[in-house]
Amino acid sequence: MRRSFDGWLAWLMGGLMLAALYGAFVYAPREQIMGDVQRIFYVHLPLAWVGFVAFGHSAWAAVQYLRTGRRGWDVASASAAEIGVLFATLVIITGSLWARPVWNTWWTWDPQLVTYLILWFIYAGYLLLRAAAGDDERQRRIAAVFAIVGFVDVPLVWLSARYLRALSPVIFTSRSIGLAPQMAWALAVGLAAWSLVYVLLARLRIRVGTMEADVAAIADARVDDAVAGRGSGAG
Amino acid sequence: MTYLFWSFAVVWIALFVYVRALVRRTRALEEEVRRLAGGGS
Repeated sequence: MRRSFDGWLAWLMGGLMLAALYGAFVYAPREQIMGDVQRIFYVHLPLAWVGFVAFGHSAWAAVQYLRTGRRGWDVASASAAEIGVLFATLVIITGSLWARPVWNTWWTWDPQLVTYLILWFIYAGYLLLRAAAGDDERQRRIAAVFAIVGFVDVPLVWLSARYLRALSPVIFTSRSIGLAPQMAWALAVGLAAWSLVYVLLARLRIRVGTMEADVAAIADARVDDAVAGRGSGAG
Repeated sequence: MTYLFWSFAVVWIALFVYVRALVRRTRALEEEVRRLAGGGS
């Protein structure tokens, strides 16, 4: 049942992704000032959106883990953070590839870029913490608090472009979308396609995390059985 | 065009590598579960 649902999701995602690529390269008009390099925006912004969604998912699952203590929420939180870091890395790379021809630099210490880089470091640190600190309940609770506190940076990234002297273009305002209609459609389809990519990746990664937890539990139980058997044999 | 090409190429290569790693990990874990459930050491 789960496989067929994932299969349908994958087909839907594939169709939307083809439409998104068509939108980005054919349907959307060439931007007059930046030229074709502006088309990077149709992958850059959806990746940034999905990264935020992933970090939000991680923080929300962490809250649920602290509330319920159920292992599944911890797996979901770690899985979402891992995918979030992957997408955030791609956001930084595609942003640099856009900035080089447009701003004539790979990187600048713009408030939005800095807050985004901090966000990347927070969740990369979270993944390192999880990898290095073992897997007992106390470590999982510390990691959950880390994931929740880290999410505080997400609204700072969003607000920094609006209220600080940021170079990054602001597309969405409360009154309008600063794009031509065809560009807005290409972006909307890209956002939908990449959101589905996230759903599929998260389901796959959570399945892997659940299996890892199951394998660890089975291995622990076998060790306990072996120890108990040896103890009763000695007694 | 070079920057545009590499932007999309890097994204798709990274995604492919990540999905491939997850699929391989899934297969390895399925094998591990079978081995543990079967009583192997």
